[in-house]
Amino acid sequence: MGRRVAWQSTGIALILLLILFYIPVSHLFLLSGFNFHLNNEDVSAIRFTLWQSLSVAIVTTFFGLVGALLIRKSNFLGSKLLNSVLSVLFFIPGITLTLGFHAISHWPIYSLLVNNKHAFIPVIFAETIINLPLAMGVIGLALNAINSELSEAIKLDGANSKKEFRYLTFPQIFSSIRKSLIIIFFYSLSNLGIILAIGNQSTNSVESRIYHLIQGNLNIHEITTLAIIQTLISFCIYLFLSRTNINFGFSYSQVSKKASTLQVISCYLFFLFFTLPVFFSSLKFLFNVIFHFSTTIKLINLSPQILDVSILQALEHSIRNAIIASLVGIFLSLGLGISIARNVVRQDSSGTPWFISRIIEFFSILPLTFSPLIIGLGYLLTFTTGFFALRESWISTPIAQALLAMPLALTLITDTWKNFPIEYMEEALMTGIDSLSYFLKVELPLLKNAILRAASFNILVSMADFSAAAFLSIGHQGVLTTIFSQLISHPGSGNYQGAQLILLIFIFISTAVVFVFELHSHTSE
Amino acid sequence: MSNNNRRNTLLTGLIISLLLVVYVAVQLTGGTSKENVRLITHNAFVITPQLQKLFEQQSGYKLTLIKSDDAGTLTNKLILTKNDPLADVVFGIDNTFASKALSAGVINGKLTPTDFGDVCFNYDKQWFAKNHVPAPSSVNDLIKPSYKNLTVIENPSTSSTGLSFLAASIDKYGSNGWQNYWKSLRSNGVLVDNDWEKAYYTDFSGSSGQGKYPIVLSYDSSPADEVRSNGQSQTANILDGCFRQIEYAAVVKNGKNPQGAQAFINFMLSKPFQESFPTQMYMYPVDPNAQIPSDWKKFVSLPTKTYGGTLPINSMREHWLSQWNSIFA
Repeated sequence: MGRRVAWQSTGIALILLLILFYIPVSHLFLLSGFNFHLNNEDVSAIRFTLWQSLSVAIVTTFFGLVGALLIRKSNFLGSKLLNSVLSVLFFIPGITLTLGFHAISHWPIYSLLVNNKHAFIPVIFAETIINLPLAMGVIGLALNAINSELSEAIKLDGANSKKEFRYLTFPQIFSSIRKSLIIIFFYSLSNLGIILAIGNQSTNSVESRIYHLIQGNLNIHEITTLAIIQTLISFCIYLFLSRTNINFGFSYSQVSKKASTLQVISCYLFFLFFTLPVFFSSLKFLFNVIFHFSTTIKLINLSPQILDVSILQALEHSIRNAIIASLVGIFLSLGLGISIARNVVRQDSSGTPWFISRIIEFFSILPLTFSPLIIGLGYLLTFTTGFFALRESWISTPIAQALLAMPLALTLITDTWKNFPIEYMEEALMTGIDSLSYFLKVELPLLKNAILRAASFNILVSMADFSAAAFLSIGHQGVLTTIFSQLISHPGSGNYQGAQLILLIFIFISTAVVFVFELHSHTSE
Repeated sequence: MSNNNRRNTLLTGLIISLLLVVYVAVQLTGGTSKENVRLITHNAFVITPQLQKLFEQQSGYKLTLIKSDDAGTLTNKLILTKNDPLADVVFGIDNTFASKALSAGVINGKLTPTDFGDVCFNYDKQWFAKNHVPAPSSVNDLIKPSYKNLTVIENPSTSSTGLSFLAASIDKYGSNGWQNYWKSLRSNGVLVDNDWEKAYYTDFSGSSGQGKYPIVLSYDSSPADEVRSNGQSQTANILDGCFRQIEYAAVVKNGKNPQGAQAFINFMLSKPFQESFPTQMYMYPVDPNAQIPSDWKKFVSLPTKTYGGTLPINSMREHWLSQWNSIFA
């Protein structure tokens, strides 16, 4: 009976996923009549996507390892702040990098990276910046888990830092390096904003190709073929990924080891190198705000011609919408995530065939591999009128955002759950505690940290999302990114400054959310 | 009921409540009624609250906006949903997509022109004065050695502005000559960006971004937005090789409220709305009696001849882009 009800709860979660994801997406595929077609441009887009994602995964994981070793393992003044600010990079919309890259495009080193005539170099650099916190998060968690007593013991045996890294640290973090490579490959596959903002005609990815087909000739056969190929690539990657736990966190674990001056300088240089391309233009603008306060107030209150409302009102609306979107997203992600995670974990002790749990996990991960554009097209075709007229409701945007964020939220919760010592349950059951009380009093508090991480992830993914918001928006439902896009796509210094102002506020909000959530998450540990 | 069952029932309840929340939210926020006029348009469309109120008061209909990226995406959305359209009226289909919308049968009646604008090259007057180089006056100048590495354009595969100039160049230089023009442009160091934002704000020297290239493919109205503290615009137009973009409004076929749709089209042609085009959407009104801003009168010149507007852009798009890509591959 217990198992039956467990399957029922998972079944309902999967039905919800079926309604909100698989049916809309299938609708699009049915429309194509399974008549698949690719041309030379599609093939070159697939080729570019593959090697670009691979390059980004390798470069980012390398710098993520360096960053994690430098910042996660050192205790110095400002280390926590550095970590939080770095985390914000992951949630910066790709389209905003245009502003930041321009500000530093003539500086030494940066000019080679962002002003290079080969557009793939700025694209890879931009993607490295955006994904760096993820790599640092994945590797950082593994680093934090290394037993400090082992570390001390190996040093007592006469091992130097190199030997310690080779024989202790590296073997312990090897699987997290692999995870980092795979996750970043995943994210890089479906990147759109950076390609649009930084790239040129030589950097056409599968995602940008789909985007341009939707804008242009709407060849459904090409669109669905590209979507299937994108998913097949993701499936292959998932086969590698499925044997390992995916876990990451932006939180900085306090370490007792005091950093040397050289380490501190290295940390700050590393931090500046990756954050200046994003933050410098905003900092410059911030100084203008401070020294020309009255002008800024005028700018905030002045209604730019291209917006229906003043910047201040537009910001209020967009923040309000982002919060609503995030709340709905968290609710959906956690509801689905907890149910599926419980079943995935449960199979270890319930005798459920392993492949069934793997299939469930795979089907819940799959939305991560689809672009919001494909989901959006599916919604247009499926949710017309009647019971679920989603396409005529603003709630379609947060639902699409929730589906995009859900797989990672799910893995965060599942992996944490898997790691609960079995002794807890055995001891609890021996004391006569019932299963519900065990769940509420033991499991839920232990999951709190993972839930908070998943929640912060959902909030910031919703805030940074542009594709779903732009594609599915209805009425006056503009969010920060769409308003930014409206301003930056029109000439005039007022619009440009307005975009800078929104970016600045966006950075502040993201930093605050990351900092507050991670502070709370750390405290809960 | 066992403890396990209670625990699982709790989770089942959570999932059911999720479904209910989604359903209630959809019912509260979505749906349409006969009094609603649903307008699908591109992201650049703006209607002020005052104008929206005026329309709603005059017509008795409530206006619901569905914004949808650009002209191409909104046309394609209409085609995808033509059996059960998501709007009653459409605004923003331009002359590059008009034939596609008409041939797909998504329009009820005709396309009504509402506004227009020209895709033209802009140049940075300050840069040319400072470097003692005569300002370009024709798109032919852009392939001359004295203008080497000075021009930034948008990729026609990824930008409507870029596609507009490609069409203009095909019209101007003919089906046999346009490829040679583009080859010369490429040899002369033209920079191709994916979108207008990057070209204008990052690479063009005359905008707020202050990039390195003093010539950019933009719009004829852009100089009106680059007026500096001395009261002069930093930029000007090259009035040759321009493409005239015309935007249309139309009643959507199978829409729920064709009367409301027509009422909104009539409202778009009224003087208050026509006069909002330059200030809100950077386009010229089709009504010659509508007032345009003083900065436009002072700094914007309209080209006497435009190119490419009558070409079969929709049917030839893929062919041209393929040829263009072979030049820039």
